[in-house]
Amino acid sequence: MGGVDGAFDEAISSIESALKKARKAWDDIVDHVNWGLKFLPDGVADQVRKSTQKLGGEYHKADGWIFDLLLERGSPAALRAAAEQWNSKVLQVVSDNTKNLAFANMPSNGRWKGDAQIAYRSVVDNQNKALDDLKGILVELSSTLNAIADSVKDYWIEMAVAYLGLCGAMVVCALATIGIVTIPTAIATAIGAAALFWGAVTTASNVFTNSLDSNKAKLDGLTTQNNAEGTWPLPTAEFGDGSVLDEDKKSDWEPIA
Amino acid sequence: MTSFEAQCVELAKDADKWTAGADLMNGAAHTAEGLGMSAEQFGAIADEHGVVSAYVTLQRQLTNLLTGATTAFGTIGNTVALVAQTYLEEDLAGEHAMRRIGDRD
Repeated sequence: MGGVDGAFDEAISSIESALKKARKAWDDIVDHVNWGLKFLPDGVADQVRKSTQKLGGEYHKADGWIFDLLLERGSPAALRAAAEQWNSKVLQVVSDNTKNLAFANMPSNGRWKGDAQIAYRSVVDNQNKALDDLKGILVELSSTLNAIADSVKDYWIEMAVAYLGLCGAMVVCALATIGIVTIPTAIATAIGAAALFWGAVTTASNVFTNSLDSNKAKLDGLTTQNNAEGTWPLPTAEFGDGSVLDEDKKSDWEPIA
Repeated sequence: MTSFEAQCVELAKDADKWTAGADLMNGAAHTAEGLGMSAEQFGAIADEHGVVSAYVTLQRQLTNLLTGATTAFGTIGNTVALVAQTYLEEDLAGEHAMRRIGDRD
């Protein structure tokens, strides 16, 4: 744990631990209520039974939902590692080539002229433009992956706060249901905590999905910056005639004297 | 080494740069190909919102572009190397000089 995503790791581990505590608390609540019902007047006992069922429904819904979500929670660290690989192993290569393969840095620059040299220069410039375009896409891709990593991390921190709140309420409820008189209030308070949990989930989910939609739009935008097939421009200009013995009896390359 | 020979050597150095560039792009293409990710990395919610599919499409496209660049750079390097070699061979054989004399007539 630690590093830039230490808070994510802590959030996940606190949710996993809270899931266990809340399950134990729910079992205790059921035991306490079943025991307490014997001592409550029929009317009150019936109400407690119903509200305990409602709490059970809300709690199990929350428990199952977050448990399923944890299975494919995402990994900010993996997303950042991929962004770093795009940067250091792809973008860096493209940047280096943009510099090395610029016409101004070609050893032949200023040594040759002629039709082929002019055609060659247009090919070099065309390749450099494609490299420049690719560089821009790779910079954006890397920053988008890091932005998604931030969103995943923030979302799970919010989830941890929300679920720890529900877990805390379940633990308090389990303790409060030991006292027969406090059972109805304890159950009602825990039901209120479940409602607060779902409210927090809705708020965090809206923020998260807005961010995901915006980052998806960025990725889509980067894809449409190239043509759909992702085709690299191939050199089409004719610059290969250095011979005077071929059909045209003339080299298109002329050395500058 | 004559001036012409030196100029051919400079042209051959261009070819070497393109070949080296192609090798680098080939390595980058392999890296890009290996950077596939799924819901495991992005999370189930991101997957539901199409983020995984958008990334995979872009990743494949970038891999294709890098592979295409490898081919293009290799072709340019080979062409320039052939020009330099042809020019040098014909120059050593005196063909270019003779042609230039002929051009003056």
